[in-house]
Amino acid sequence: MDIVKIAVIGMIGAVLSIIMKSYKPEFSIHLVLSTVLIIFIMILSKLEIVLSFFQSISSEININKIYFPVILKILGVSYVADFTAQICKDAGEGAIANKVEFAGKVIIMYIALPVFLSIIDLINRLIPE
Amino acid sequence: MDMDVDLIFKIATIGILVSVLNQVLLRAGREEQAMMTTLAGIIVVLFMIIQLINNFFTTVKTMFQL
Repeated sequence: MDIVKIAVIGMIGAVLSIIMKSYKPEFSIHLVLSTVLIIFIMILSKLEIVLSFFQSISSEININKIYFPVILKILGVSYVADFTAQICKDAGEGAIANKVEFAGKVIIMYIALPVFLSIIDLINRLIPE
Repeated sequence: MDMDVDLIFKIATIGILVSVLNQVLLRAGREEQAMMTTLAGIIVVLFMIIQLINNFFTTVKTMFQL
């Protein structure tokens, strides 16, 4: 039922932004931004439940207790980076969008480094000298 | 939830209002006032959106433990 509401809001936003583009292009970016944020806030409650479900699952399995926050962080960084890059692309700023995506990738690599290290020393331990 | 939907319509009305005002002022020969009204319109809309963006970033921060 919720998806219908979200679809309607998305369409309203799209139509209004096209109208705004003809009258006053400056306002269309604001309109797109507010529509996107409203849709995200509407879907927030369901996302919260999904994340808390994963949290409870991961707390039972004791091996990846340190890794689950890393996954969550990477999810968050990639979502925000993609969100900003998409908004910049809509506004016509391809260069900024690329830079934001690049920064997002670097941050994700930075967050994932400890995992790589633990894998590498695990492999070292496995190989018998 | 429904307050947010009104936000979209508010921004659209402000935008159309500003563009109409702009045209009127341009016809009346006052280009500076026309520029002023456009700037004022953008600032008003920005204030409305800033609150939404702040709310968005704080929720993402708390949810993904960033």
